[in-house]
Amino acid sequence: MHILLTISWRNIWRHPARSGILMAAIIVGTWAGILTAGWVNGLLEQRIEYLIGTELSHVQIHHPEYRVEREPWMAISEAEDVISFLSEDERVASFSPRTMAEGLARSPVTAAGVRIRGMDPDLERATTSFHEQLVEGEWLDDPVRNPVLMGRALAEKLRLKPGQRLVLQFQDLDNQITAAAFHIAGIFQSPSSEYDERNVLVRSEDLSGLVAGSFICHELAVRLHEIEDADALASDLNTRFPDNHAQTWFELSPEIRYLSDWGGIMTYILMIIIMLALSFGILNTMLMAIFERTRELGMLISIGMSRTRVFVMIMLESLVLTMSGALAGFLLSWITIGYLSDRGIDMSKFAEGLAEFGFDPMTYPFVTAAEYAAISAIVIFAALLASVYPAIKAVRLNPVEASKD
Amino acid sequence: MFNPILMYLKLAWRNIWRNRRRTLITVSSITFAVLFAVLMRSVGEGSYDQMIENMARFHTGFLQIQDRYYEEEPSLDNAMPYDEDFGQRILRSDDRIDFIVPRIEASMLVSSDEITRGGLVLGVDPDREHRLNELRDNLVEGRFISAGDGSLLVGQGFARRLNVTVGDTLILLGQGRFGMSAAGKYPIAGLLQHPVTDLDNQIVYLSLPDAQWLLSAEGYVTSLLVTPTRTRFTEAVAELLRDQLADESEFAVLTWPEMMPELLQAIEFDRTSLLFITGVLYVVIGFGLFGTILTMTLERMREFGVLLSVGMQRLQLGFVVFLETLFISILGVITGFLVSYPLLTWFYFNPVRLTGDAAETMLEFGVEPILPVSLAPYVFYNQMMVVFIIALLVSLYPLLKLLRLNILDAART
Repeated sequence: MHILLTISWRNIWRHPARSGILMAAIIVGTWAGILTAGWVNGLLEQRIEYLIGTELSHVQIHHPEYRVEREPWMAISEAEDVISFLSEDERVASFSPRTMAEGLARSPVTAAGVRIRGMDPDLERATTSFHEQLVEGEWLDDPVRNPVLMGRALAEKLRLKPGQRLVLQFQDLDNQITAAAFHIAGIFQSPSSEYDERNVLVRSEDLSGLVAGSFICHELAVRLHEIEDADALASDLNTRFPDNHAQTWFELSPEIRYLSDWGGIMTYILMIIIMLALSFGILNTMLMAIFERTRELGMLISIGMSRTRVFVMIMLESLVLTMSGALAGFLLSWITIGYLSDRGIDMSKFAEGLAEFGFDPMTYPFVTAAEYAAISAIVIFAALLASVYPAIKAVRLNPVEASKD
Repeated sequence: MFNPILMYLKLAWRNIWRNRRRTLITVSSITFAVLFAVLMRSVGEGSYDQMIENMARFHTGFLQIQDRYYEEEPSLDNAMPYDEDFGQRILRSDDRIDFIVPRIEASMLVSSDEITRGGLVLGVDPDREHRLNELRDNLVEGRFISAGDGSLLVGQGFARRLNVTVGDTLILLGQGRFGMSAAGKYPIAGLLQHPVTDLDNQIVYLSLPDAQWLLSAEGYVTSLLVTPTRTRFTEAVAELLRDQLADESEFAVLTWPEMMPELLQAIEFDRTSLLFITGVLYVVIGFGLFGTILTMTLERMREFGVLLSVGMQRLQLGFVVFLETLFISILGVITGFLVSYPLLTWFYFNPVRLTGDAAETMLEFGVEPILPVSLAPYVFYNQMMVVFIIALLVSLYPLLKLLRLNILDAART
């Protein structure tokens, strides 16, 4: 076996140009594949961090039915106890109680269905960074009566400007329709104009007063010091307060689940296509090489080398070639990813529209150990695919015919 | 009569069949290159088509005719007049127009006995709407509505939020045209499961005449959706309608990229990243082909040497080798098409179904969990051209080698 390995290795380097080209193809293929995977990861993480940072936070607590039914009476039960539990827990960095209502925003021109999100200006600012999306006016600590913040898209739809009034209409605890005038204190613009069109922000005390007459809380968003604690904290909360339902960021956002699932699938599909193309390139080259070497192989068989050994030798040549190329590709991509994960990729050149939509043009790629493993598996599969057929062809040679060539 | 070009062609043709095995390997290299390039592009384009189709079907349609102020100020006051004559006129203006779908749309408060929610009320022509997005198939309970029957359809999620079911009555409350108050009571004919979860939680369908009456907008719609026979005709049809309606300045014609700029942005962004990966694929393909051609060249060194020794000119020989490459590349690209077209057609009609978590989340977004492919002609044409060019470039190598060949060395190998 050891001898065969040595022979294969020497055979590979008998044609440095040919082997060099194949190896270069393998290196480029694996390198680019891993880089792409890392880049997709980076984009994804950026999006997740954005969602967590601006609104979602790490854990949210609701009435168990609230996220589906959104009834005003479905408030968090024992809210004070939950809040004091959270303020004592060391994993918690900050939290923000929110009062929510579904309703209609009316301007003199037209009306639009909206979600009204009431929040404590200071606690919210400590928990999320949504205030950074403000493009005009002030955050909710504006001294005017009943301040409201709305998205640029909604403001345009309703033809409203900061300083003007709008009427919000919603149900109170007794299912009576209540309406109140709010003053537009500011305009925000998030990456999603759909979000901007469907959400308005008010102070929770104003909304609580109108909905319930006293403080009421439908949602508690919790920011942690470490994102890894989310599962543990959610299950602690669920045991401690069985009447409420705590969920982690991953459970909360269908968008995150969609992105991470779909992004992963696409990366693997593309990787597989590249690897298949690669292995067919190798296969054809090896096949061509076998035919060129018929004389040599025929000679080997005639002087008594067993066909199994010839088979193994040819297999080894393709395998060793692919694997050493892949290894170099892995090493190269590991270095590239390491470098880029510090420095980041500046994508503003590729898609200038991104920044306009609030995306940070800097992406920091990374690749997890599991992905390296999966990509290795694909590479090994490709290598096997490329090596079996030429090896079969080689052993089928007729030694008498072959050495005559 | 002696025709040198014909002779070269003959020589090249015979040469490639002299060593059938070698030719077949090279041709198959190119075939696979075309197959993979087409496959990658087709999967990419297919998923964009699916995205566009989904958004168009369930949101804005491919193109819309609206009042020219509606885009800026989507209020019923900016609705456009519409009747069957106008509809027929639009429909007949070009045979690339498949059908039209009139809609009137308003945000209203929707109340059951105890609960009130903001909802989106859509007045539609039930049959035409079904043609656009197979609405009828989404019915989960009760019956479908028909024109002017005074009943409504409601999203399943919305019905749950309002705690109502088929047979219950909903009250719609809001503002009609020119500030008229709009209020009406309608029994629920059926529940729909709208594929887009977000809409499922707020949508109410009325028949067009009922909605027009409710909103004091008889003879008006907020938009007329025009569906071209093919997605790619969208721009052309829009141009044509713009011309047609140029005299009637109250109308505006909008296409989906104008109505959903974010979707276009997302697609363009995705395309950019796919372009990078496609570039990588080309490099890989190029190297693979180069490996094959290189080996072939080495194998033929002796032959070249002999030919040169017996007096064939380098340029003549070079020309013959070039013709061989040309034949092989053309053959490879054609077989590549012959292999990839049926394969992709099969995938087009029997798409790969995704399962597991990814499929669930896709359904939540109203996207069918399949891996769609595109059969657009340009996908094939572009990739075949690219691979053909790569093959020709790679084949420059034997030519270069030939021009610098040392006859004595070559004849000795």
